[in-house]
Amino acid sequence: MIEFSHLNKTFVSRAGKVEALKDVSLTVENGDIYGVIGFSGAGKSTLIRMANLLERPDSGSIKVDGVELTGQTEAQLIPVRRKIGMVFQQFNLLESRTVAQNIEIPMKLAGIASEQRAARVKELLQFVELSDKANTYVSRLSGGQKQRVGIARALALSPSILLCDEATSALDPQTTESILALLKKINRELGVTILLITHQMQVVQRICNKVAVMENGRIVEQGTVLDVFGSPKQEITRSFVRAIIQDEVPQSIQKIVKADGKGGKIEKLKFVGNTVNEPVIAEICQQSGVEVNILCASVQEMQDSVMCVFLLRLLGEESAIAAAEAFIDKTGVLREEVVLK
Amino acid sequence: MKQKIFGVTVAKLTASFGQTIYMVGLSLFFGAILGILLALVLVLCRKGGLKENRIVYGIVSTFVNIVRSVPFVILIVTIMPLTRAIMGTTIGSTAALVPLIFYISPYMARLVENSLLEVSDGIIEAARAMGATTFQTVWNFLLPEALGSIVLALTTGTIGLLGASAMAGYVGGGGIGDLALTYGYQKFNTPLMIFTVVILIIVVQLLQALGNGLSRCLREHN
Repeated sequence: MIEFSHLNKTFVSRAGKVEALKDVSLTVENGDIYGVIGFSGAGKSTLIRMANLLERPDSGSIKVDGVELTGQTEAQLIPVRRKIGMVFQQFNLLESRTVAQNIEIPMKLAGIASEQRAARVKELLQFVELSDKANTYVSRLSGGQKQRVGIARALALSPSILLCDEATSALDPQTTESILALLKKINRELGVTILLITHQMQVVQRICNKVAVMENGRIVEQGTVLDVFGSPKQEITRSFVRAIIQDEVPQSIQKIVKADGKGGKIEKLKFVGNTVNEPVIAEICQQSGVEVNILCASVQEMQDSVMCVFLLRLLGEESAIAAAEAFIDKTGVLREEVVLK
Repeated sequence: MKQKIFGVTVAKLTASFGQTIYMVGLSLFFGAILGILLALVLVLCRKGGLKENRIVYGIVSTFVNIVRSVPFVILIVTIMPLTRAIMGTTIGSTAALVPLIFYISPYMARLVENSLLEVSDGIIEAARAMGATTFQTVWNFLLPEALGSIVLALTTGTIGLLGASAMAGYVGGGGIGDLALTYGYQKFNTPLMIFTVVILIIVVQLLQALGNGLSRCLREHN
């Protein structure tokens, strides 16, 4: 478990002061895959580096498994860091070493005997599906393979926590998928808690159960992925949601709707989690007698559930439309009226 | 060994070669060790380094700059008391080692410093993240990753040392450079002078090729 509370950090440079973190509080529970999403410069890199105190806060508290880290010296932090694995965007592997030698390093540093190291390396290589590359030099690997080595290295000392610093940002979409699947496997099979930072919505959508959205050094929204992205409150969160789900009426459809002069109302319906099972649209027609036209629909899997967005056009008497709206609200489906500009 | 080449005996020639190899070899060995140590101090203590320490960095950096700004011939004379204290004499190949090491260490330090700075900060961060001590970071991450580049730096340093060793003739150190100067130039023996210069050119070419080859080996890890 990682508990950040009221963290502040300001970097002073010749260019001026940068407030990287402003009163940031966040708790990662055991078993979570917690994603921190934000654009570059939002402060998420600084935040993840606080979990193993690579970066020290100006004020605030950092507890890992209940132990306060902020007062500890670099020497005291060594055993703590050995229990927290870290994976990097640029992999940060030793190019002058083979795959096996890279994975072995943390164990070597911790003084583990060489037979034990060799056995563990074999096990890890199998886990990340790189058994045939043990004696290959890292410089000969592809990006995805390098990240697998980075992950195996991070797991070498069987950490309870894994920190991922933009672990998939340097990879192509397909490789990203395979690395995300691997992270999920680590979480499920090894029970490792994962804290990751990313600017890719795909990452949060695929594997995270909780998310925090960062902007200008602050966490502007946090909670379960379905809650935060199901009903985003901040503009930045909405922009991330838009990256994966179509929730606006496409221009071409807007043109047609405006041109036909039939009037009516356009409603945005958002089905999150359980509400997906409800036959809401069919019932709208039956209950209120309005004519329902689906302008646009979009479905995304998230947190092992789904989020669907329907853009409906309701045609009929004003009273019938009002009745339909009242019915929708009663079902618990999120409804929002859309006014075309 | 009465046979003569360009007016000097073969014995004299081989002796000169021997002196050059002796002076360059030993001062390279000690200069490289001292240079790498100084470079590590510079890299670790610099701003943002693992053991950031402005005072130590300032002192070492200034010392390196001062020694590097003294012309070698002047350096030989300046540190004669030190040479006498260490070697018991100020004359001969062995005595020349002291100023040579004194001269080459700061030079090596700067070259190796550049090599070490080429190692990405990410590698150092990874080392910290996995709980490496400073010594472990240097030994397992910094030096191995910079090795190819350090070899090139040492090659450049060795060639600089070869040039400096020519001036060791000033304190009776002998060597190929001294041969060119005293037997070639001062005795108007132009063929000998050209001969030794050609030999030096060949040696420098060989050294550079060796350094490049070794460095490439280390970088490409066949």
